Amino acid sequence: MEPVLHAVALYIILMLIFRIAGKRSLAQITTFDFVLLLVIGEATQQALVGKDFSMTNSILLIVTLVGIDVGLSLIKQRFEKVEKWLDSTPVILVDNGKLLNERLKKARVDASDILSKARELQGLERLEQIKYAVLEPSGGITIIPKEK
Amino acid sequence: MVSERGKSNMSPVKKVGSLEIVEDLKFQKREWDFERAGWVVMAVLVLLGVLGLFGDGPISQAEQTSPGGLKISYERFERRTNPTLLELEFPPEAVQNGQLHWWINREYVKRVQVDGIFPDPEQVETTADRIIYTVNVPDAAGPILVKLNVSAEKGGRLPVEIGWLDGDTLIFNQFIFP
Repeated sequence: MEPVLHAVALYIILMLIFRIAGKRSLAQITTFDFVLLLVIGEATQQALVGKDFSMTNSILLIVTLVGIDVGLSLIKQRFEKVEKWLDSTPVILVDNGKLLNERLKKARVDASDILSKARELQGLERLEQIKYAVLEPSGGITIIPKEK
Repeated sequence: MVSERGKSNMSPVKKVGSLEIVEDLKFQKREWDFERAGWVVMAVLVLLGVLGLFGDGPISQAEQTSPGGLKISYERFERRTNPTLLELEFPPEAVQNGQLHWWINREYVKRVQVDGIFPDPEQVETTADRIIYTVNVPDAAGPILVKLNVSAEKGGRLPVEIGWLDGDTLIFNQFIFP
């Protein structure tokens, strides 16, 4: 019973923590963010596995976690509100070359992040070449260039 | 027959300019407020952790002394599977015929894993509700040091009763976080 309970509890708590941390926290922006995620993985594993190295324990944990994932995806399909609270929604950050500063501040994204993505995704040089920049639920930024 | 019910439960696709997007600013604002509230909770949690609410800190470190001079220092709060130390000092008066008979309640020993006892007892006796350890003390000049290293196997409240035979008893609780 314990592995299942611990897996469920940790799933919920991790989801809560990462929702509180914000969309960008999962986007893996810097090398350090990547390291941080590795460390979090290690810390979680300690609590879940403990001293139990049996295959049964591992399989039980994995099945429980994936099971919760699948279960939630079914619930999300049925209930739009649940999907919003679990996955978040996209936010437009740039509208026709204009930075929407209030939203940028709240989302903790700055102009250099947007410009960097514009270069990476669309090879754009200037802000005015961006039609829309959207902060996706995943934490990544997508760019729609202005039509030539 | 294709049901349209499923469709109406999906997020409404809005149109902002030429962009079709499932944006919901009202929800987004609430989410951002929720984030900020969450940060406060996280900060409080970290602060409490530093202060020792979850073990190892000023809130958790405790000492008690009995009227007869039995001293104990222990952690009020501890985390499951984390080793913790109960450090006792028995007064010289507790020694009878060159031996110290100290005991701890059976309930506690049942719920924890005893990692080590110092000094190694000469003899161990179990009764209905106590485990009694006998230690040789040839020269009872000062307080006698006894150290008990344990780790809790399960979370919850651990009642502790500890003392020496026909002498003082100290009673307190430890709380183990899961």
